[in-house]
Amino acid sequence: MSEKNTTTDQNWLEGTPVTMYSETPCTPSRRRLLHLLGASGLAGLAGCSQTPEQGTETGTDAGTEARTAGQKSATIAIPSSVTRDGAGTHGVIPYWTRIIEPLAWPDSEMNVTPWLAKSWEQTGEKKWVFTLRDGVEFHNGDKLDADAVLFSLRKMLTDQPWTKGWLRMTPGGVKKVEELTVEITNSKPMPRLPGALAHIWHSIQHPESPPGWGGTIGTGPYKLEELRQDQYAIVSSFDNYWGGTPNPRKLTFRTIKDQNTRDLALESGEVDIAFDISPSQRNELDDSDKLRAEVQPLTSSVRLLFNNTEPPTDDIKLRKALNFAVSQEAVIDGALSGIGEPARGSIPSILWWSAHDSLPEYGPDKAKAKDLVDRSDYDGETVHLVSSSSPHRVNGPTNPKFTAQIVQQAAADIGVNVEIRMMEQAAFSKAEETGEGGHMFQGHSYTIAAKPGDFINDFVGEGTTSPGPQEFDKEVKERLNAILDEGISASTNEAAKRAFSEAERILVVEEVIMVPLYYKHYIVGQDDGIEGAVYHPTMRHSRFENMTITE
Amino acid sequence: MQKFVIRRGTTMFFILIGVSMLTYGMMFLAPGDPARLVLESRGIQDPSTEQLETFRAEHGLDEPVPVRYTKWAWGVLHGDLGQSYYSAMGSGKGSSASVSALIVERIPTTTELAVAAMFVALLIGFPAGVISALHKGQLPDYVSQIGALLGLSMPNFWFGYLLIMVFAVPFAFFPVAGAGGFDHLVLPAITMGTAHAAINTRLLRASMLEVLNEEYIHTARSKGLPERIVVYKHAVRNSLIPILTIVGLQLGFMLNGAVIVEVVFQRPGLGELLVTALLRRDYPLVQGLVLLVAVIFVVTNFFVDILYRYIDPRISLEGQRV
Repeated sequence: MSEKNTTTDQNWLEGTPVTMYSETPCTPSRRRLLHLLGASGLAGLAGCSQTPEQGTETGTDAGTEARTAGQKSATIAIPSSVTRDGAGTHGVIPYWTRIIEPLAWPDSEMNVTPWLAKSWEQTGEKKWVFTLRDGVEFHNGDKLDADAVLFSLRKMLTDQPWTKGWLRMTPGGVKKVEELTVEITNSKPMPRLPGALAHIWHSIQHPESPPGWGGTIGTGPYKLEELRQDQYAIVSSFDNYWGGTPNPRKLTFRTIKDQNTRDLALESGEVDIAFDISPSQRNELDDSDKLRAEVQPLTSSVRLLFNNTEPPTDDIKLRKALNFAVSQEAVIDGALSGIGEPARGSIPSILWWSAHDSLPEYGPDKAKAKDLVDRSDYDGETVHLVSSSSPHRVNGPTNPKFTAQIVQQAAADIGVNVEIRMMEQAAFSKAEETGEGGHMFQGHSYTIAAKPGDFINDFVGEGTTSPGPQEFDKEVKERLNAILDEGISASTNEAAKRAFSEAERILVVEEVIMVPLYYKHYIVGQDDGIEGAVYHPTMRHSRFENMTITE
Repeated sequence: MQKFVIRRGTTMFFILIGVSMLTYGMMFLAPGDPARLVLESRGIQDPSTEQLETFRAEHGLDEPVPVRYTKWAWGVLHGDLGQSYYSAMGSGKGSSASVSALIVERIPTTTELAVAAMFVALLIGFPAGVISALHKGQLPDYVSQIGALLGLSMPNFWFGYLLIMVFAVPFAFFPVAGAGGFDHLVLPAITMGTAHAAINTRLLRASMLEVLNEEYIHTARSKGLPERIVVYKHAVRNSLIPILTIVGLQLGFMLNGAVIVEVVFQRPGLGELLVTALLRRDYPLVQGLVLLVAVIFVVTNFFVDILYRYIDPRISLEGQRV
């Protein structure tokens, strides 16, 4: 492209002096000045088209190439950046791009499967031995070994000390046993360590990976070629990938934060796959000959959290009444175009440790709700519902204002006056933390792994604080602490699930600290000629290395 | 001229100090804790009190606002706009979280859009205003006025999506999103330029109508000058003063980045950066960008004042008509 433009420029330069200097004497008039300004303006604008790779690779061309050149490349529109600010361990956080990989992997059902570790064994209450997969190569040609695992985990635990609590691990707890064997000693029992290590955050990188971004040496199916923060990342296939040669050869991840623009980019063919498109677009995609929609559950839920420290929501009867008043189905149909699952708790049903099946459905039962309001101390005060209006949070509420209005209407039906306050995310976080100015907070939870932070308040957190205007009696708090600790330390998943379910039951049924609204789903729109993309409940763990693209 | 430059330079300096003090103070009144937001963005969902305090101490957030402002202003005077709270991961040639680097990276994208949008605004607004005034009460005037009203009434985001749906989706004449080439510039420039073109049309029309009734125009006509000369040499030129003022301001607005246009077309420009910085409570970056905005406005207006003199030699830079 640049070659072509250079030729044009040369022709233009060659032609101009003849007309300017040989035919007309050089007497600058205002008109000539204006002509010159106009011409230079146009030339300047045309010059813009010669900007480097960013225009040619991330604009329309990459998407077009995918269709014209068969399986060479694909362009994927994502709602967030591929980079993550302040990433101390990995130069580029491996969300989306599959540059680096962890020891274990959460499959599409959220079960833990071997990945860079081919097996693991719990050898003691706090001891684990991980055996690495043989023959795995880094992008620089070196073999994966125990040293790389030591380097990566120790670096993460040192650079990001908060992960020590998450993994119950210290840098000194990671030891090399043999070339392909690593022993991990937890600081406290951690029966679900492989599940925690399946988070892509704990990926393995080469010890010679340069600090900072852009040069990360991983084992993943793709290598980073080019990165521009908040704009795009281009990756190329790693031919010696242990899982087989990846296809397509090149992937371009384009950050398109605006959902409408993402929808339109997919519709125009500018991108081949678009994540998190508008629920309202689903039918249009289903009717299309060239595109199709895939609906996937997310590991996120949206709920209304009560401030139980201030009137009128310090009254449990009122909190219960609001639970009976709100119809989750109405929220999903009205605000989400039917895309989502009615929630009974906070932990989405897709996760093995969800208490969904054991939690009751409140209703809607307007008569019961009204009766509860009558029996409560509620005296017509205004209940302030605070919601984040931030459009860029995939895990946040979808259509938050409309959702809030549906709740407001449901409350009005039982005689409770709700006022909605929309705030941008930073102000919302602050309000949620302090409880200032709000009785109900439309929030969300992150639930990739079973850890206490996923519950309301961090009862058993190791040195962490969790914001929230929720207070519990000392006895309830101690009981929750003990139950959650038991769940984390339980040796079987069944025992852990029992404990976590009990904790959630206390929060939802006994303390009524929330109105669960829905478990989130997301929609991926894609070219109908694409097969083999594996969409994941965490969205960013989706895999693209076995795709086929047909015309 | 020298006097003018000194006087305006001093005024500009105090304006910049005032703007920076005001925004610095207001920023800290807004609810939101940058320490928590930054740590959460690093994946720390529940940062400990110690982590929060460490971050605040590292970034001087535990100091009183006047002290922070003084340190920031001292840095600016030494050419240092400070460091963003968020680390930058740039184009592959090195990483920098310096506010200057982040701003410089975005300037070309915004500048090319501002120039292109201004081009559109003048290309449409100038002839439409002149034709409208010359044919007052006739069909061209009505058409031009209706067009101007439409341009003013259409919200930017709506018009942007409309252009995408008409020109990018069915025909793929232009790309939907991104930045980098001339083709990426056309739809955003039209979106942004149209509203300004509408303002220019209406303003030039009004100004032209006023000038066309001036005595010197009647004199020129009675002298037998061709209408073309009367209109373009005498009337249009003298109608340009108010247009120039507004064009100067428009250029300032455009260079500051049109947030909506940048969001709709996913152009990584200054407006988008400012909004992101504000939402993330990235105070050093917000402050750097606001300072840039203020500089652009005062400098643009400075040059507009100088241009007055060129357009109308009767105007002196000391503010008197000669």
